[in-house]
This record gives sequence, C-alpha cells and structure tokens, in this order.
Amino acid sequence: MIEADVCVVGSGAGGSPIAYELSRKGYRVVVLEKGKWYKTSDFTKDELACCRRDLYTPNLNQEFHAIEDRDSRKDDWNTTPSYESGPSFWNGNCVGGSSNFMSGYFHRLKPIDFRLLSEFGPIEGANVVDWPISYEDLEPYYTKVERVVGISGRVVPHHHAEPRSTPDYPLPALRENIVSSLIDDAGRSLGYSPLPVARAILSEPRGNRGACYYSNFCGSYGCSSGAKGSGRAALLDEAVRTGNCTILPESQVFQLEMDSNNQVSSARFFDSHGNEKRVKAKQFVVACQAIESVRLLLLSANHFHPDGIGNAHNQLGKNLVFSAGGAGGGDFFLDELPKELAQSLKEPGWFVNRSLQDWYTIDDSEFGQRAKGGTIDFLFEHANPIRRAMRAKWNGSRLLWGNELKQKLHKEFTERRELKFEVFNDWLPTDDCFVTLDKNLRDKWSKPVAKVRLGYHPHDLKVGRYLTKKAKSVLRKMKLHNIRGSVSGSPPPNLIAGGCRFGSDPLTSYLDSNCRVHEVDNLYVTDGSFMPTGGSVPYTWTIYANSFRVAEKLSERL
Amino acid sequence: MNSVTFSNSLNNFLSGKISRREFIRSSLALASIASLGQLLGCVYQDAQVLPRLSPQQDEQMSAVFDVLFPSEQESPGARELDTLAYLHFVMLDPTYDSSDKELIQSGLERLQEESDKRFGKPFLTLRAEQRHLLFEHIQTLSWGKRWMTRLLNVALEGMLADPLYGSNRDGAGWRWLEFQPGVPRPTAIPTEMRPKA
Repeated sequence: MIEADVCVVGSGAGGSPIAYELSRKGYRVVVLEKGKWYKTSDFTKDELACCRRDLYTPNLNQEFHAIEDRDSRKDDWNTTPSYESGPSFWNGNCVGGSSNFMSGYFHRLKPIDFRLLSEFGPIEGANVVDWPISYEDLEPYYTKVERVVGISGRVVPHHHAEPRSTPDYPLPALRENIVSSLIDDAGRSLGYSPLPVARAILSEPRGNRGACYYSNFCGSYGCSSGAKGSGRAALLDEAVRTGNCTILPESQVFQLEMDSNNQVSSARFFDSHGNEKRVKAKQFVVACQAIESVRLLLLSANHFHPDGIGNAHNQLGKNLVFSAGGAGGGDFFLDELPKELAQSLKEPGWFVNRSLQDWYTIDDSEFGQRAKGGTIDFLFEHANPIRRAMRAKWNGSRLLWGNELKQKLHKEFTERRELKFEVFNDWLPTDDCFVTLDKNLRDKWSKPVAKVRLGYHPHDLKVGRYLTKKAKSVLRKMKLHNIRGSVSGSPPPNLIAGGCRFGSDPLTSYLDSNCRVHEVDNLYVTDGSFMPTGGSVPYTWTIYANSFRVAEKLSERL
Repeated sequence: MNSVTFSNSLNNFLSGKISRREFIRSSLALASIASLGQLLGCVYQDAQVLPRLSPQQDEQMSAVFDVLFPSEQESPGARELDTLAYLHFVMLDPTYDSSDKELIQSGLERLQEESDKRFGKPFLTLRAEQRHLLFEHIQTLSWGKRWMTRLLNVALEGMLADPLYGSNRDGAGWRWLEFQPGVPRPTAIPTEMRPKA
C-alpha cells in the first residue's frame, strides 16, 4: 500500500499541473500513469515507431474503444470496436500523455466562449450552456501557463483579441518560414487580419530544457530538446525534483474505492507485471483524457453509487465534445516560382504560425443569424515522408508502380510544397455524443471498454464550411494550386473534451465550479472533460490553465 | 447497406483501397458476423503463416520488387535500396499486421499460377517485358491489386524509414528525394518491433 496526500490518475496536461503545484507546496503526490516513462533523450525522429506502428499508444487488439456511428439508413447506431473501425482514440499513453506529441498551437478561449448560451441563445438539439466561471476567473492561470510551461509568441492587437493581464508572451516568437509573410500579404489584401500563433515551444533555453532546434518533426513526435511544453518536460520533471512527487508508470488504474464516509479512499491499479496494488490518499484527481476518465468513474460504481461515482443525476459521460471543423490546403509548384523563393519555401524546420480569427463571431447575413464562428490555422504538411509516399502511389483508384510511380514520387518530394489549413469551431454538445461502458467488449485487463457515441450537430458543419471558404480564399489569393478543403462530422480523436461538464447545478452537471465531483468530497477531474462547451481553438492551454486553478482550490483543502 | 454499396466496399477492400479494418466496419451494417467470417475465410483460405521467406521466395521477391520499384540510372530501385532486407524485418515485426504478412506470402504462389496460366512457365524464367505484362494483368485482379499495394507499402516504407530497419541503404532513398531526415535519428529498433524470443 502506497500513501500520499494526493493521488493523480493520468499524467497529461490535466494531471501534471496538479502534481507540479502540490509537490512544490510540500504535499506528497503520487501520479499513476498507464504508459511508459520516456525521457527527452528517448525520443527520436523515427516515423516508423511514432506514426506507422503507433508505439506510444496501446495495441488496439488489446485495448480499444467501442465506437458508435450513426447509420442514417436505419436511423440507428452501429457499434464497432476501434481495432476494426480505426481511427484509434488513444493519443499518447506515456508519462506526460498526449502533450508529448502535440504540435503546441496555443490559443486561449475568449470571453464569449464562457457564455455561449447568453451570447448567442439556444440552438435546437444542442445542450449549450454558460460556464460557471468567466474568462476573468481563468485569465491569471492562462498567464501562469505562459510563464511556467513556457509559451512563445507575439501579441498583436485584434478585433477579437482576448484581454490579457500582461503585455506580451514571456518568450519571443519562433522563427518563421517565408510563407508566413505571404499569408500576411494575401490575408491583408483581402481585408483580413492574419495573427501570429503562440506555441508551447521554447524559443530560448530555460532551466533544464533546451530551446527549439527546428527539427521539422514536431507534431506526433516527442521533443528531443525539451522545448515542447509537454506536461512531462515542463511540469513533472520539476515536480519529481522537489522530492515530493512519485510517478508510477505502467500503472493501469481500474477502480477508485470508496469508504463508508462517501470518500474515495484508494485507487486500485495493475502494475507492469499485472499485480494488483493500491494507493491511499486524502484527495484524488482523475485526468485520463475525457473518454477514459469517464470510463474509470463508471467502472468504479459501488453500493452507494450504483451508476458510477457521483452519477446519481446521470450526467457522467454526457455531452462529450470534440473540435468541429475541417481541413484543407493548396500546393506551391516550386518550379513556377523564382528560385530563391522556392528555396526558402522548401526550407524545412521554421514554422508557419499564422491564424485567422476574424470570424470568431460570424456576423454575416449570408450566414444567417449572428453565431459563434472559430479559428483558422495555417501550417505546412507534417514532414512524415512515408505517409507522403504512401499517398503518392495512388492516382485516383489506379495503383502506380514501376517508373511511373518513381517519377511521381520525385515530383511530389522535390517540386511541390503543401500549405495546409485547419478549421476549429465548436462541436456543439448534444444528446448523441457521450460515453458509456460497453456491455460485451472487454480489454486485456478484462474490464469493459468505453463505448463512445459520435453524433454531431448539423450546425457544426455549417460553421465549418463558412470558415473553410474563408481559408480557401486566402490560398486562392496566394495563387496556390489544387486548393481543397473538406468539412465533416467525423471527430478529430486528438481533440476531446466534455463528458464531466462542470456547473453550479448538480442536476445538470457532474462537477462543481472547482471541478470537484458534486457528490463526493475528495474527488476532482481536471482533464478536458470539465468543459461544457469546447470553444473554437485547441484545448491544451485551457486544460493546463484550469488544472492550475483547481490545484490552488485543492491545496486550500489539504 | 445495400448490396451495391457492399460490393463497392468489398471491391475497395480487395483492391487495397481500404483496409481490412475499414472493410469490416462498412460491412457490419449488412453482413452478419458469421457470413463475414466465411467471406474473409475465402479471401485468406490459402494463406499460411510463414514469417520467414525461403531462399527461393527471396529470389522471387527480389524479381517482383525489380518490377514494382526498378533501378534506373538516375535513381535507386529496390535492389540498391535493399527492399528485401526490409521485407525480412517486416515479416518478423510483431507490430506489423499479420493478415498483411499472410497476404504478402500467399501472393507469390498466385503470381506463379498466373505466370503458368499466361506464359506457361515460372515467373523467374520470364523476360523483362513478360514480367511487366504479367503485372499489368494481375493489377486488374482483386487479389493482385491488393498484393501489389502491400508490397509497394513495404518498398516505400523501407525506402524512407531509417536505414536501421534494413532498407534505404546509406540514406539513398532520402538523398534521391532530397529529403532531410529529422535528428536525432533512431539508434536502435524499439523492443516492441523486435521478434519475440
């Protein structure tokens, strides 16, 4: 039996700020992580390991999800285990979680994201609500993340800019490819305001972490200099150095046990040898990423909580959200461009770091009623050469081989540079997107797997299409070729939130405004699952910020 | 799913346009698990799990890769890149899809059958243009397209993976495509990808 003041289940962006803050305050923290503990020096730019064989996520034949997709022909839902349906809904199972593999495009939410209902009114079929806290409540913690995790960037005034308590980022912006200035020119000539994107990447060394060395292999890869602000490099390494934080990797928690005082008393887990162990603590924090957090809380049902811990009002697992939107891009044909420009565009490593937030609120009669819009981010295609080559072997449905394939490959790699865009808008919470336990399917631990229903609201697509059109207009202005864009209701499995929404009313929310389970005194949830609506930006900064906020509330109770 | 979309999906699967996983997913709407099992059983009926290639199979595979990814004066082919070495690695890699491994091997036998049918002699005795014609033909067959797709996957993956894995000898694949590999490069094959003792 291991004892601690605080036991944190999950070591990603939701768990690591808790461990960092409380260990520095002198509390004994134990972090349980199901995956391995890779160090910065373990990470290499091995596309086979990271991206072809997916070594940082579980083998889907052993650990998986049951995915429920809508079957429009029958107006019913089909369940398929993710080892058959693909894509995987795991995003990085190791110490630091998926924050190791993020690209680190960091955006704050904006004040209107905290009051979507009062700002835009209800939408039929969507469970839109206001947050129980305001932007002003979270702002100090956004700022804290900038400083502690390390965010580089450049603040520019903008119509939709969120208020800041400091004038600028603590670290200067990262170096940019020449394409950033081309986006600026094209965007401005269209009357838009292209913005520099902040990144959770150090542009200068800090403490034990090196600066970014522009490896050109960032998203999907672990960082080899420590520049990327993963929960591991930025927070957990520091927490461990205090001597108060113990991280137990390869520890699969399968139940939170409760005592007769309605308190969580211990976390039961399997260690790397499959032996069952326990951690006893005063306070418990669950942060396994939305789907797995819900699963653990459901798996922990007991006599007093027969439907899952704290689930008397059936809120646990409801209102799961992703990031809606889409993606697209266009091609530079390098042989058409002046040699010097082509060479600069081809240069690997430096970042694009541009976004458009001109339509964070859409006020356009062509669209309809005033509505929440979103963010457009521009980026180069990831370097991953194997993926590019795999794609190049197809010409429509015709398979290329022999000399024809070789010619296409050479052209693809030496004469084309792809500029991509991603659209982020709200995935409206609905009754058709939620997590339960599957009654039949079990993982290698013989525990029921999470069943995830993946319904979306048609409004999401409408907003996504509007923003995609705007993004394409920039690429057209840049005279790119093969301009494309697509919007769909398929969720991006790396952008998950909701499922344990926080709120002031226990009848309609699972957590209170401090992310404590309404019905249980010593149990908190701090990954993205607390978010009742997702905003229109990637979540990581908000998850970090909220977790720092909760750490402060939690420490007041120790 | 009606029978038209089902057969589309089946064709996509057989031609390698969608993975087995995607195929099963799209088929579950129509087919019962039992009938699906029979179907897949047919597809794989002659597959045998033989992780190591025999010397004879090696020779055949080399010849196949010469057709699929030929050597040219200006650019490396499967021979210079040593695609065969990567195939050997793949066949023993526990993280590589086992049904793909089966398909890769069983395809060689079918190639021989087709060679006998069309030219009345073994593949290895065909002249270069006959080999090419044979592949033109088998790419129109559902198993053939699927098989060629898997082999091209192996060739391309090997060509652009770190030389550590056996192909892309001296970084010849990267050099040809003017690709700058990321650093640090891997120095050892991850334990998960090594054959289980």
